[in-house]
Amino acid sequence: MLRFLAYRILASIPVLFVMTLITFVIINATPGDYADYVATMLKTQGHASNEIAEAAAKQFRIDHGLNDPLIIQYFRWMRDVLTGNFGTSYFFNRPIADVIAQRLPPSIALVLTVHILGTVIGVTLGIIAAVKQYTWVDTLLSFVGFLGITTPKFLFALVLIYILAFRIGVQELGSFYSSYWSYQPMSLGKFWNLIQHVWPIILVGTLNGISYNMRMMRGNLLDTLNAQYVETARAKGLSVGKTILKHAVPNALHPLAAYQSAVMRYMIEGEIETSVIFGIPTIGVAIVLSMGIGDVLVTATLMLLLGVVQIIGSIFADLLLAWLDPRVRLGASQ
Amino acid sequence: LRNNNIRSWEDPMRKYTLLATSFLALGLTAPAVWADGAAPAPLPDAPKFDAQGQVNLVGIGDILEYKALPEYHQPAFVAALEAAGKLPALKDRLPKEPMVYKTGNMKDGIGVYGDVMRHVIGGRPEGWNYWAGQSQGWGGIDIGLQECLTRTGPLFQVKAEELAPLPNLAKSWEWSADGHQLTMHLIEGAKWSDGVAFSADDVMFYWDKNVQDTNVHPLNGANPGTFGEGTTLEKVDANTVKWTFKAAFPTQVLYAMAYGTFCPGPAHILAPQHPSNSKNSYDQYKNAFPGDYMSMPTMGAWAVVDHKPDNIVVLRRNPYYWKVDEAGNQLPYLNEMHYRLSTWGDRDVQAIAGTGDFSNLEQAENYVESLKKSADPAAPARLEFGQRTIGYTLYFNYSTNGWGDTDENSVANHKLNRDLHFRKAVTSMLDRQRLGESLVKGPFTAIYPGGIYPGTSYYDAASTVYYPFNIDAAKAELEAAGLKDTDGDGIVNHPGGKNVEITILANADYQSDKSLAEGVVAMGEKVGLRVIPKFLPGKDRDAARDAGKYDWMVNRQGSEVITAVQNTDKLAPVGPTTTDFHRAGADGKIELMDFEQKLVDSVNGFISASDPKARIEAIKTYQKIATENVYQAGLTVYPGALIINKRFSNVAPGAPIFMYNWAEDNIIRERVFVAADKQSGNELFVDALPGAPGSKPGEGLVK
Repeated sequence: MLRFLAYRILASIPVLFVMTLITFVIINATPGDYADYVATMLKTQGHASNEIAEAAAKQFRIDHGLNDPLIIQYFRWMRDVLTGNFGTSYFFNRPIADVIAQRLPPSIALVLTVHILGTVIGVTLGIIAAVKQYTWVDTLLSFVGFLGITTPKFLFALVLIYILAFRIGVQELGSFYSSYWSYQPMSLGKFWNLIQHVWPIILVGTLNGISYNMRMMRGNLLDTLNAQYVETARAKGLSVGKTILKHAVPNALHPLAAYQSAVMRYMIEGEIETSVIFGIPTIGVAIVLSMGIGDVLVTATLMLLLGVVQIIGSIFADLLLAWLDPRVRLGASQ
Repeated sequence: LRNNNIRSWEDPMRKYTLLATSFLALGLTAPAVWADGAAPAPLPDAPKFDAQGQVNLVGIGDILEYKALPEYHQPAFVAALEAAGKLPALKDRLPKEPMVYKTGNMKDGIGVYGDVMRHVIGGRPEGWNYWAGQSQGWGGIDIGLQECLTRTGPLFQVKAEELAPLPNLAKSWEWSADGHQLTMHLIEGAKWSDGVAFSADDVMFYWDKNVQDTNVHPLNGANPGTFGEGTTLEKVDANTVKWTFKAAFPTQVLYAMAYGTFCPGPAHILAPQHPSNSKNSYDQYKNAFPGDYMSMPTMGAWAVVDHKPDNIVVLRRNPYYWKVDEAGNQLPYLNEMHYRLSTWGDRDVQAIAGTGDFSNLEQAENYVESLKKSADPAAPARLEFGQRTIGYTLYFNYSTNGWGDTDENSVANHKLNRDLHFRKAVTSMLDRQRLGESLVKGPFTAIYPGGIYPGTSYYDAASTVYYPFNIDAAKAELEAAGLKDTDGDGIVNHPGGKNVEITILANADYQSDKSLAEGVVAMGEKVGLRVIPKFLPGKDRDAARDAGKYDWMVNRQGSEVITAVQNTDKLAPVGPTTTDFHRAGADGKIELMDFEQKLVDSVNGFISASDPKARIEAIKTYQKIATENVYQAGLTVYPGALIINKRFSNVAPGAPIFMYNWAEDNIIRERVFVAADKQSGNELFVDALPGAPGSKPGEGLVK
């Protein structure tokens, strides 16, 4: 197993290298850069003339080496990455590592909550739907699942924010905490304020997760319940409940375990669409923001981070599968 | 005619008769085509609606004056700090003659102290060295922190006959007899927020070490040319400076002395870090006051006391602020300012919901729902629409000399753009009523033919030529431009063959821009023009615009068509890169069309004129030539809406979200207040004042 782990980690290094190169090129392929953003802000916010704004943009390109060949810019960034310094964000004017360190923990906490709720509730409902196949319960759950999967999260979020801001007048919108609570040490009151701010994001994400997990679990479990070993277990005299929970469910969980590799990456992004709409400062919002204004080193670093997490996720999924399925374990040891 | 004469073609007499008839017919046809082409019509009046605030026009003297008052007052907690010996006496903190806001110009009169205004912004402070080019996050932070020699924001309420920048740090000025020298008297005895005296030395440090030093790039781009080439500035005494200009009476520079090009910084803090006085590099100078450097001295009403990156910036009242009301109450009334660091889109949502207090609502798509919400008596915010100062126009790319795309099709399109018949066809094909309604239905949008915005100070209806929507006229003008559908596919062809295919550039980040571009595409189809959308996100759109890589562009207009006195050089290509639609090629030359040369002359005439009447005439000439020749095809114009929480008083009616400056300046925040029974209790640093310069965020406050 250790050799397997070492092999997977070593094999990921060239993958990451190629990925950073391709990502860097793609990010820089669009015609504008951060200097254009600087010029635009000078014109729109500061009423600067074209000549002044464009002179400022030109100076910015000189100061930050944006006129250098792309390959030089790439290796300059790679040098920063390899020395543990990801460079400085043009927009935030702070070390990129600080921006990530500030946004990453709440992003992970947010999506972990969404993921756990979505998985636990979704898998449970999936089991119920499979066991109650073709009853009204199954029909109702299928309908809910269909809605959850087909309704885009951004649309759901837009409807929700319209109701909250325009109809109900909810006061806890944008950011993780109200101004007052952001100055207080952690307490029950502060935690409640956090919940008041993030519940719409958790709701939107969880509903989507429930629907996905429920549909997948229902299908998997129905397949498994028709397997011969389930019949054998029943023939041995095992109760229905034990047969389902001990034999069928662990096998039906395989695809969901494999799905964890994708979920890890998603976790970093932090419910990207919903966070953008609700103005919550997650990593996903930083990706969208930095791409929009040409803060390329932030975008490239976050893409690198996502790549690393994707690889860790796929290794984690392999290990989870091996733990769940003795056939995989045995196969690996042989 | 043709059928009647084919049979008689062989008869010589008939032949001559036919030729004569043909010439006669041609002679008659030319005016017939002309008559069928675009013809001007009166511009319909813009619709009126109740939510549009009416501006109470006043003179400058009705707004403010400088004078000593018999007594002065301050908030109780500041008086307590003074009594505790933590602050000098109020009379010693105020200038000899403070700026006094007249009660008659304050909608709700003398205010009371307390409460906070909560802004939400999408920018992030890079640091506090505005004078070396650092952005402080925009959204009104810099407008509040930097006080300038003159002020333009509140000019929306100044009568046209008195229109000139308001005095500010410069309390008065006079011109020499020959108009080449301007002596400015600075406010005497005013102090920075750390108690150090403000003087002509601060003005000179900004001029000598930031504007004149080509290694320093102040944020809004002040450079020696901003105030006229060859202009000099000298200190006369501690409170007086003297400008010397090459031109006589260049009164327009007074506007450049307002936000954001002549707002001096604290020399006693900045100078020791400047490379001329230290071992710092210019980059180190720029970054010497990073985001966690608190209580940077300011002449503004509030100083920054806390900055939580990506979260919030908090400002507390400046105990040395140099403006008072007529009762002698030191301003500001509000104790605190918040700037939540979020996204620009979030700003509207939070203001509507009531978690933010202030927003400039510009996206017309949101007007109806926002108005409905604010009409609810329980709604936290109200909407007030100003003048119609948000407008869009269709830019024609006039360059054929190498700026922008140089492929055959693009050059052919740019040549078409230079054809008056073609431009008349385009303006006539535009159903501006529908274009406006594609953004928002109702009385908000108005027909905009191009040029100076209707209703603004320099607008003259008699000088405005409007070609109304007329499909037949548009088709006739296309034909007159030599464009016919020769292959029967419904699209007109260039003379000689290919279909006319025109790209229209628009900003993909804004629905308004896309909706208007899509409208133009659909309307082009009706007359046989294939218009191909090129929607790019913000920075990419800007890069394409600045490189001239477009045929047409949907452009959100700037201050040049609102005030005419700001960014005037954007009205016509007076320099190689002053406009976004016609720039010089690699040889540095611009191929000006004849009428365009006249536009350039009128703009230059406007800039150099010192006589108000001459300026009015110059801009009238511009408007006439520009609209008659469809220099740009105006699309629509509509008002922005100020969303402001209902608890605030003294917000001037009809304050536009953008005119001479942004609404954060227009409403004169230092005299805005919240009645005692409406105060929100949202202050974060209660009873505290800014600490020593360089304090850590949230620390070292005086309390």
